[in-house]
Amino acid sequence: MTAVIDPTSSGADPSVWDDVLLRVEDLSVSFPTEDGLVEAVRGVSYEVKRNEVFAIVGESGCGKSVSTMALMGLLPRSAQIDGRARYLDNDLINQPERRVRGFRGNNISMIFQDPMTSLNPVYTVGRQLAEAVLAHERIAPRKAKERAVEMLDTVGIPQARQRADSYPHEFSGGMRQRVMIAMAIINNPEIIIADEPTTALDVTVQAQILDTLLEVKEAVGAAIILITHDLGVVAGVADRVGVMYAGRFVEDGTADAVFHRPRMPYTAGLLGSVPSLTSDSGELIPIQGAPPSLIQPPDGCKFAARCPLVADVCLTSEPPLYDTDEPAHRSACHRWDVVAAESDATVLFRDAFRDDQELLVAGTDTDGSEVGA
Amino acid sequence: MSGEELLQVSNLVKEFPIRSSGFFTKVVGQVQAVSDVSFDIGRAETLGLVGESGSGKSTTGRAVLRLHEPTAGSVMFEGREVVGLAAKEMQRLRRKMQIVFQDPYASLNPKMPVNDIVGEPLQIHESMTRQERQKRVADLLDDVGLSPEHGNRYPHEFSGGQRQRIGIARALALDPSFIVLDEPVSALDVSVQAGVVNLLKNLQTERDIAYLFIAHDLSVVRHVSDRVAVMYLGKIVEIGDRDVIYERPTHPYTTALLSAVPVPDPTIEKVRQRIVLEGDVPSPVDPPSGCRFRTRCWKAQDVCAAEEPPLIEREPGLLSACHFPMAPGEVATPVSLGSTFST
Repeated sequence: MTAVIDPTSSGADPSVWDDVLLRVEDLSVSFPTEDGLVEAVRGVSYEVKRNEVFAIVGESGCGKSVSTMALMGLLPRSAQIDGRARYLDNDLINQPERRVRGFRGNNISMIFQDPMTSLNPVYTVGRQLAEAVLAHERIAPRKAKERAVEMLDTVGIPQARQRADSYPHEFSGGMRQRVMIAMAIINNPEIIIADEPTTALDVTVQAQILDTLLEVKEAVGAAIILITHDLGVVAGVADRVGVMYAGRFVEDGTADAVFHRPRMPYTAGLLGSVPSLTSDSGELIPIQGAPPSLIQPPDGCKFAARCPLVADVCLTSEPPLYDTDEPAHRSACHRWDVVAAESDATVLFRDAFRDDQELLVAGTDTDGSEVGA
Repeated sequence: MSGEELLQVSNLVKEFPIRSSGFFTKVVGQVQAVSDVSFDIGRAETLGLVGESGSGKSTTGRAVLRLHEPTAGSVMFEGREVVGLAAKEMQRLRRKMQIVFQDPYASLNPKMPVNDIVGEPLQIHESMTRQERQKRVADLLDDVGLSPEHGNRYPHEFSGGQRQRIGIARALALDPSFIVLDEPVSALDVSVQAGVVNLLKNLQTERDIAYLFIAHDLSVVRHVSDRVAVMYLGKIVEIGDRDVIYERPTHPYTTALLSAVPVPDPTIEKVRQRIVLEGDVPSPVDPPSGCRFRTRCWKAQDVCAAEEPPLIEREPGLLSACHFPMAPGEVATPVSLGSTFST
C-alpha cells in the first residue's frame, strides 16, 4: 500500500491493513437537475478486504447503487464526483475512460439486478462471455470460448457446452443470473460488486444463486460488495455491513454487531419493522415519515425528523461516524450511547409509535413528510 | 375461524390461449394458469395466497373477481354464483368486491387529483351530491392516514407508501366486504411497508372486511393471514391455518419454500438448515404429469409421475397434496448448510 491514511479514521484493525483491496474515502456524487443539485452520495468512506463480503444496505434512494457505480465509472457525464477511491495502488475516481476500462470487468466486476436487460438478446451467451475475456486479454477466440464454457459449468449450468450456444431468452431468470455471475468471474476479479443480485428472483432460486455466489467467491478468491435492501440476505452472507441513509453511512460493523446490537436508531427501526417468519410478530413498528429530499437536505442529522431520540444537537450538526462501545462498530448518531443502553433498541420506536398512534386518532397522517416535495 | 363463508371458490380453472405468431394467428394450445383451485374465505378473514412467480396466484385473485373470466369452476360470493352473472348484476356485486394492485405508480391515473381517484367509484355507483361525495372522500383519506388537504394533489406528489394508501382508500369507497390485495406492499421499503400492513389490519378489524392477500413474501403473509394457501404451477399444494402451515408444513414444497426465506438474524442464518431446490419452476404450458412439483422434489417416486395427489387432511386445519408428506420432525435429505452444487 502506498497511500498513507490515518488508520483511526477507518475503524479497522491496523494489523489487517495489507489485506485492504479497495479503499473509498469521502466519496460524493451529485447530479444537477432542473430542481437543483441532488446530493445523492454525501461523503462515503469504507474499505473492502480480500475475501470478505461487505454488504451495503439501505432503502430506495439512499445512494447505495450510485456510490458503487461511481467506482466503476458507470455514471452519466453530468454526475459530479468528488473524493477518492483506490483499488490497491490505482485511483478509480475521475480517471480517463481508457484507464477505468482496464479495471472494469477485469479486476473489479459487477453483477446487476436484472439479468434480462444486462445481457444482449441477439448474441449467444457463450459469445458474450468470450467477449468479456477478449476485452482484457489477447488470446485466441477459441480459447476465450473454452473459458466461457468452463465458467458456465462453474456456476452450475448443466450441459454448459451446449448451453453456451443458446440465447439469453432461452434461459430462465435464475439461469440468466448464473450467466451474469459467470461473466463477472471470467477474468478472475478481485472484487465483485453485486447490486441486488437476487431481488428479481423467487426465494427458492435466490437461495441457489446466493450459494453459487459464495462458492465462486471462494473459487476465485474475490471480495464481494453486496448491495441490497433485504436484511435477510445480508444476515445470511455478509461479514461486515454498512447501513446507508440519505447518501451516507450511518452505521457500520460486523453483521453480528449491526444486527444484534445496533447503535443507530435507523438500523434499529429497520430491524423492528420487518415481520418475522418464525413467530407472530404482533403489531409491526414502522419508522414514521420518509427520508428527506437530497436537494438542499436539512441541516443536522438527516434522520432527525423520523427519530424517536431526536435532541437539539441533532438538528444543527450532522453526526460523524463515532466509534462506539464495540471495536470496529461505528454509528453516526449523537446519542448512540442511549441506543446502546437499550437491550432491544427496537423498543425505542415502539414507544414513539404508541404516541403517534394517539396523534393519528387526532387526524395526523403517518408517512406524510414528503407530500408536496 | 369462519363458520359462515363469505366466498367459496370451487374447482376454478383459468386457461389462456397460446396463439401462433404471424398474421393469421391461430390458437395452438392452452396454458392452465389456474388449475382446479378451491378455497373458502370467511367473513373478516384473511387468506394468504403464496407462491413463486408463475404459480397462478395473481390470476386466481383476478379470476375470483372476474377481471379474468374463469374458464370453468364456481365462485360463490355471499351465497350467489358470480361466474356467469349478467353484466348489470355483476356491476352491483362489484361494490362488495374490490382490489388493490401491487404497483402504486401504475395503478393511479397520473392526470387525476386524488379526490377524483377516490371519488370515482362513488360517482359510478352512488347517487350523491358533489358535497356529499367530497365529504365521503375526505373521510376515506382520513381513514387511511392521509389528510383531506391531500385530495387536491396528484399522484406524483406522493411517496410509494402514500400512493398505496390512496389505492386502499379507493378500494374502501363503496364499503366492500371482500378485497383482493395483490402484492399490496411488495413495491414498498420495509420501514414504510410496516405502516401499510398495520393499516390493512386495522381496517379489517374496524370494517369486517375479508382479504385474499396475495404475496410472495412469506414473512408478511404470516403476519397478516388467518389461513394460508401455497400455490405451485397453478395448483394449491397445501392450505391450512397460519401457524400450523408455518410450524408443521407437510408438503415438501412448502417446507423448501419456508427454509429458503432468509431471516434477518446472522446467528440463525448461520445454523439454519436450508433445502435448496434444484432447477426452476417448469413451464405451465407443459406441466409435469402427476404431481407438478415432482421434477424438483427430492422425495419423488414413480407414483408421483403417474398419479396426481389429492388434497388430503393431514391434521385438523391442514390439507396438502402429496403422496409422501413430510412427517413431523422429518429432516429433508437435500439439506445444505452452504451449498448443494458440486464442482
